[in-house]
Amino acid sequence: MGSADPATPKHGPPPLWLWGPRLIAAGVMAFVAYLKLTDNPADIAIFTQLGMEPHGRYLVGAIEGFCALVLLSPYAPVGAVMTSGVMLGAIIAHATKLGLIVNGDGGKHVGLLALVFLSSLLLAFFRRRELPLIGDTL
Amino acid sequence: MALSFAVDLEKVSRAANISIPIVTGLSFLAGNYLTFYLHFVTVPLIMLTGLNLYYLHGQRSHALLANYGILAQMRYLFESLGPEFRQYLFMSDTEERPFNRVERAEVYRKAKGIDSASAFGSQLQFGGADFKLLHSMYPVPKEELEPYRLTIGEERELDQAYTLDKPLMISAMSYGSLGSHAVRALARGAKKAGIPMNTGEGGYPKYHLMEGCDLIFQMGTAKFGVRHEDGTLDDERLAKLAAEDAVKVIEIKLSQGAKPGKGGLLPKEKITQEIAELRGVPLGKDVVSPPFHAECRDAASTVAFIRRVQEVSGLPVGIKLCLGRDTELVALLRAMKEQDVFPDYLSIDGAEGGTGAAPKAFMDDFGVPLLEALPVVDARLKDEEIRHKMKLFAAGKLISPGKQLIALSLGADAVYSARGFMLALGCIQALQCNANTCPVGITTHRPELQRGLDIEGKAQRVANYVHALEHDWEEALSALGKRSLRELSPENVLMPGRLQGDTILTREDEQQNLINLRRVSRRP
Repeated sequence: MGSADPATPKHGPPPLWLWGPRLIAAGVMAFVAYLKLTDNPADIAIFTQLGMEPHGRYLVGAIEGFCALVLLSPYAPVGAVMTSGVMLGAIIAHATKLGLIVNGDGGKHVGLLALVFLSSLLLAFFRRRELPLIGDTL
Repeated sequence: MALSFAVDLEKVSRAANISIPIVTGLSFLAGNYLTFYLHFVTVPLIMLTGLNLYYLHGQRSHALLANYGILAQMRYLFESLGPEFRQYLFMSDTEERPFNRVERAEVYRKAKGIDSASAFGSQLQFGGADFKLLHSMYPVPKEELEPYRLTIGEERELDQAYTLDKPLMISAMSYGSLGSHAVRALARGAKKAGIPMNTGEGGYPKYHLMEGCDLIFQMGTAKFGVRHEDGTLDDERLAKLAAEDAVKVIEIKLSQGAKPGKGGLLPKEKITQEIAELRGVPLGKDVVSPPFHAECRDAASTVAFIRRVQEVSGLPVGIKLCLGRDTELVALLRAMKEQDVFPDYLSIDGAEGGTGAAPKAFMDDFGVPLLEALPVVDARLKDEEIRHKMKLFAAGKLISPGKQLIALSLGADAVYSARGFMLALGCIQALQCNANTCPVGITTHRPELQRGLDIEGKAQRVANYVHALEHDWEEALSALGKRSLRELSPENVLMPGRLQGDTILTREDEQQNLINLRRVSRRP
């Protein structure tokens, strides 16, 4: 915080390609948040199966929407950690309750999940030093 | 004996390191069998477990984290909050550096137009180790005081000689080290107060020029704004800049108190597109000025360069330096006599001088502090019989009226202050000048931080500060038994280790005197 030493190494600007995973994660999060909050039947089915319909669906939808916003803000690394958290929850759901194929979608849902999880992990990893509190130790 | 109820941090952290994964597992089971909502807890716990495992087994650069895991994070948290805790809670009023709270409070009060009288007694330590002013038994009535006037360039009978009517100037701070709001507030305040402002070595002084105050254009070793590609002086651009109405004086910076022997430094965090253009430097790289002027390789060439700048600009030209080796100063003064070329002023920057960014070793361990340098320089000028050829300025932590008067007594004709004016602008000494994160918007270019710096309001504070100082100078002058600031002399000063200051200046004693001064003038 109060470092007066100009020789302290600073991290450079993040590489340009990181915009790829950042936009993918933000776009998908915004999209699935929209579906959940507008009573998409597939999501209603999923959350019924999890025993969280309708409040859990609204809650998760709101969190996903918030993640999309944070991902596009200057606090993108925080958004990336939050997004990977949401995806971790989804992985638990698929592993314990839903299975790989949901509503006969041939695994598309799980594929999308993997894509976003990977994107958010990439973003969080490459910008980990910007994370508040723990950034300096990573 | 150690306290028996002391917390055993090792046991606590071991317990935490074991319980985090256990609780995570329990939460997972509960989420599975009770309600899926509990996984809102499971997920953060999984991440925490992962982070803790990484700290304990995955990294080797932080020993504390490797030994104790996540709980050791507390140390880093408290360490990062340390400066704030110390400043607000634990430091006494006379402890902080570079300026303690007592010193800063005086400037704040002057800037806000509040009476700075205090009660009960001084907060400072009186151990005979500090410079003090010596009053007269016969104060001069106030109506007999004479106004201050100092004309820079009168020795050369310049048409464009510049007259100061206050012994104080705003010292060199560039646009770059300061943000645009701070520069404009200072410039507007200087205009209101009727004092000149030094531009610092920041290239074309775009923001300094906006407010119509008188300017001293500083040419640093990189000569931003007046340079050729190779770093040598571009006469044409200098002449053009000198023709600006507001530019009254040119200052050649040979060295700086905070980093003598090293060039200016602007960290890349603070370089915006505009600054890169004004200085002619690339973005994304620290800008490091060379340690010397390309033209100045010895005493003779330095004096020749001074003449060249005098001829090209037609303005009064001064030089700024931090005293290093005494013998080199004498050689420079002799070269001036040989070539019959004299700068219009010599500005002595004490080693305690401020900076936006400088390597720590240079800030801490290089150069002669001001009050030790000033008598030496004054004496050398007199030894060489050229004291009347130039004015002598002083700079280095001169933020209070008393310190300014001490400098004026020890030989200075006028004084510079930079940080005094930053404090008047509202500086809280957060010590982040090099990081572009100044919390009060002074040394930053981030618009959201500069937003808080109201130019008009702060300009008035700058002017208030000057007016309050003027008031104190008059009071003090009367008490010192002198009619004008120009009459002040070393006999007004108690120097550490001796009763009468003027005896210090004889040549035979000089070496011993310097040694004595060094030994005793450190504040406890």
